[in-house]
Amino acid sequence: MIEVRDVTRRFGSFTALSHASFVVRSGEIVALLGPNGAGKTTASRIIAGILAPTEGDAIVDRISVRDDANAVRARCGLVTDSPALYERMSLRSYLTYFARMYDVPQPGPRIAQLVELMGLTSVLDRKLASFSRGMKQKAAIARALVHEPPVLLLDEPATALDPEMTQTFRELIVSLRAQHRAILLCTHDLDEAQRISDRVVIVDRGRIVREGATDELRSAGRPSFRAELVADEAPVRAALGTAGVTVESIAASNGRLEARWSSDDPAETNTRALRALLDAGARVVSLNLETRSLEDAYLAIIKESRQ
Amino acid sequence: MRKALLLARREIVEQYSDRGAIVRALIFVALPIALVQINRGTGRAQDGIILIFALQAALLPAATAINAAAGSFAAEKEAQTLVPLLAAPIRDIDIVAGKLLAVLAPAAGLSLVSLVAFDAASSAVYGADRVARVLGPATLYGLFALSVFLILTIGAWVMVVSARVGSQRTAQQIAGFVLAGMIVALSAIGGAIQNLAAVVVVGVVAAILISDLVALELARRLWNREEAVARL
Repeated sequence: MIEVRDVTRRFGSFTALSHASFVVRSGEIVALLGPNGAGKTTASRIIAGILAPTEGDAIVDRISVRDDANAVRARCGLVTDSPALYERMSLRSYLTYFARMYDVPQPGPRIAQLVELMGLTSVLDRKLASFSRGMKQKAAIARALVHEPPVLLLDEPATALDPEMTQTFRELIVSLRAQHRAILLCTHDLDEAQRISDRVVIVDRGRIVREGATDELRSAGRPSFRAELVADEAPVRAALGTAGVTVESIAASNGRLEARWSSDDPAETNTRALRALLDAGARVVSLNLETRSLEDAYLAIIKESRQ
Repeated sequence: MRKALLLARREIVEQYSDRGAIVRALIFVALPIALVQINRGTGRAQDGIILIFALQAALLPAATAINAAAGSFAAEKEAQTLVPLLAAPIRDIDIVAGKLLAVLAPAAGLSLVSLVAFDAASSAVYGADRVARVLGPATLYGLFALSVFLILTIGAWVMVVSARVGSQRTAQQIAGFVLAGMIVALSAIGGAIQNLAAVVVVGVVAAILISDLVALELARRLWNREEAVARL
């Protein structure tokens, strides 16, 4: 489990992270979202025990980075956007080297297990320089897992991976969650975050601006509704206006009309809207609650935080 | 310390997995033998000249430390391989010690081989008795110790340079100035030995030792995780 407690990190006069607090529980994937330079990498490096917080503390597996950063490092696996491998080494030597750095008592069986998981068994004795980008990233993940860390920190791990490799990588992360690891995924790939994360923490300009379950964030704000109608635009607009419904948009699509509105009191507003539409002679094909994509929610939250 | 040794071993294997590094090392071993062969005809070579050749045999291999140190630190920054290393449970002091050892051990080993090769070659050409008189055990140990101190100086100062620059090329270029300083120091020692000015020899050795201490302390401060990560 990761617990970030009121962490601030300054580099000279620049504040990279300001009073950040959030939690990642075991068996949970939390996406740390934010634009470039928002403080995501700083947060992951503080949790990994590489950077000390200027203020506050980060607790990893009940150990404070301030009290014992080395013990924290031993409990974290870190994957960055660049595989960062010693390319003159073979995969076997590379993983053995890091296994020894992490005090793994019997590296052999663990390495065999990992390369099988990653589909790299056939290239175990090949030089890392000959690997493709995707294979290198898999080797980096194997390195991060070699000591079976309870905490996994993934900082833009899928950058430059092709769609097939990204899919494989995603499945791997989800399987690691099933092994009760706490996983922090720092990314600006909202699609990836939406697909696999349980919760989202949004950071902007070093400050955490929103935190919550992925579904909660997507449905945050006024609920929005979409009615699909067989009708003309003018009477529909007039009917909804008369019923006091704040229409966001009306557009023709595939020979039908789509009307969108939002409301804080859906039961009252939708009843009035439907009654007005039926009275105006419109035929209602469907009425649905619109779910925002995480991207829409993210953009709205970032915009709101900057106002 | 076990992790420092592990790190040093990996770095040494990495350095010498490059054929160019092996060729450079062989040149340094061959150079003193070549000097003796070139001066073969001058059977009456002065004792002072034998001592200067021995000094060159001991100290020239120290130059290999420049490339090794620049590659070890700046190249690792450039390739971003420092991040996984810094994320591993290894103390800052073990990282610095391991990297210094990776610079020191091969260059010192090369210096020893070069000195032994020179001793053998010069004994064959100038006569074993004469060479044994000029290069007694104390002199040979002294020359070897001097080369170790010089390698430490080079390694530590190049580490300091590497901490400040972003690329291996820049580190190597700046390290060239270190090499120039080393040549000046070598000339001073050579001149002092020839003129038997013991005070100057002691002065130069003392300067190298002070430089070692200053550079090692600077390197220790610059290569703690905080500093290293902040500069990535």
